[in-house]
Amino acid sequence: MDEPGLIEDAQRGDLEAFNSLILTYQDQVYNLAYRILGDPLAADDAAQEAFISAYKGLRRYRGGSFRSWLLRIVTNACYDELRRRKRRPEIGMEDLNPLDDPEEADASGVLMTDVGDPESEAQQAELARALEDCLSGLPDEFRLVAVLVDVQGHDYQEASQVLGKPLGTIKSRLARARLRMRDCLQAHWELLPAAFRLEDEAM
Amino acid sequence: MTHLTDHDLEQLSAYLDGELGPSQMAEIEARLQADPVLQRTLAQLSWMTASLKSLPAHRAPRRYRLTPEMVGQRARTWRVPALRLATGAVAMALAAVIGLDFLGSAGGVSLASAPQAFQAPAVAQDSSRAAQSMTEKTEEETQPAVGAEAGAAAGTPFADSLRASGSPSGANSSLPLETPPVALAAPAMSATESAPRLTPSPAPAPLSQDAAQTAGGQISSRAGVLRWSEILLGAGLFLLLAVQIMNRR
Repeated sequence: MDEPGLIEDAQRGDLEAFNSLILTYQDQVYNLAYRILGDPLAADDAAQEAFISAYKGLRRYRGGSFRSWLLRIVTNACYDELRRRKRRPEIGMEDLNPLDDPEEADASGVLMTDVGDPESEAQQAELARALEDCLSGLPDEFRLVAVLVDVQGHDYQEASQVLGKPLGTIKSRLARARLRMRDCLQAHWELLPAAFRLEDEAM
Repeated sequence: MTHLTDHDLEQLSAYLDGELGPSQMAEIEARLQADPVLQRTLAQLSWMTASLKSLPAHRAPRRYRLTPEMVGQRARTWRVPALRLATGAVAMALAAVIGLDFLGSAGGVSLASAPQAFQAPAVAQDSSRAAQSMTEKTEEETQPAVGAEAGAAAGTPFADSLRASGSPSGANSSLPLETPPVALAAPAMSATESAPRLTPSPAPAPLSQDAAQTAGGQISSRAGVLRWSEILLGAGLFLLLAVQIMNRR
């Protein structure tokens, strides 16, 4: 895929070129929205809104990582949604996690990576739920950094570009997010490896 | 070491991600070798980040294909060319009107001279009227002389009648060459009949004045129409350009 060429075409108003770019990034965009919002429907809306905003604001794109630029737009769309929720707190984040219900999890488009024996699979699912619970319980600014770096695997520089924050802020927020995650996971000690339990025993 | 500071945690977290500089990395590695709490914390963070990275990815529930309606492009697809076409048409019309105006003012030399040419007989008519009143006063005294002059004029060709028109009365002295031959012929013809009729016939002069007024009026009204067209087309062009600029934003 000639990404710079597609971007140039899209900037000239070629919608099909932009649709090709969407095809490349739609899973990453949706996944980020899902991790931030914890709700498949809200994530779907945020992704759609982000792509429309991105196309309309394509003239403002001045080179650099297109993925970072796109992820920044979806992050902003998610921020807007989170702000709306805070103004009208009707549904809690924990109520929106489809992984709580295995059937709903299957229908939500989860890409299960490996299929092992049923017991190990069940344990993996339990751990995934615990991690997602802890992740969704983090304050927004910590969750965003944790999702970008720990879940999606972006480096600090890209996280800094996506969030529009300095590297030092990314570094310190990530450390705090990890510390909170670690503390949160203590509630699921039965799922944790020896390193976690050892600490429990030591304390 | 039993307690980790925020700085320790930041360094450990960054070490895990390979985001430390060489000197900081060497420092934390030295501490890790000597501090079991730091070692355990690193193990915990390492396991946790690996677990988070292995969380199942969520596939987009559908293909986010944008349509022209979604981005409001349909309206633009016809609006932009229509605006450009309209702007071009108005610009061409404005250029045409300015061109016409320019040609009118350039040809204005002949057009402007036309009223003067038309005015000449009028002036001539005024002086001929004055001359007529003078000739009426001395009609009986001058009649033979005029008659003789008229008789002489009657026998001359058209060039001679021109000379006759340059008589002391000065009736047609200011007549330009463009003066219609009808106006010139009139005195020559009347001169063959009688002396009082030697004075220019009033009929052609009023006709020339009317024509002058009509032509002048036509020119001024035409110039007015052109000016108004220029103003209106200029304003229209300005508006269309403004709309196009707004549209781009």
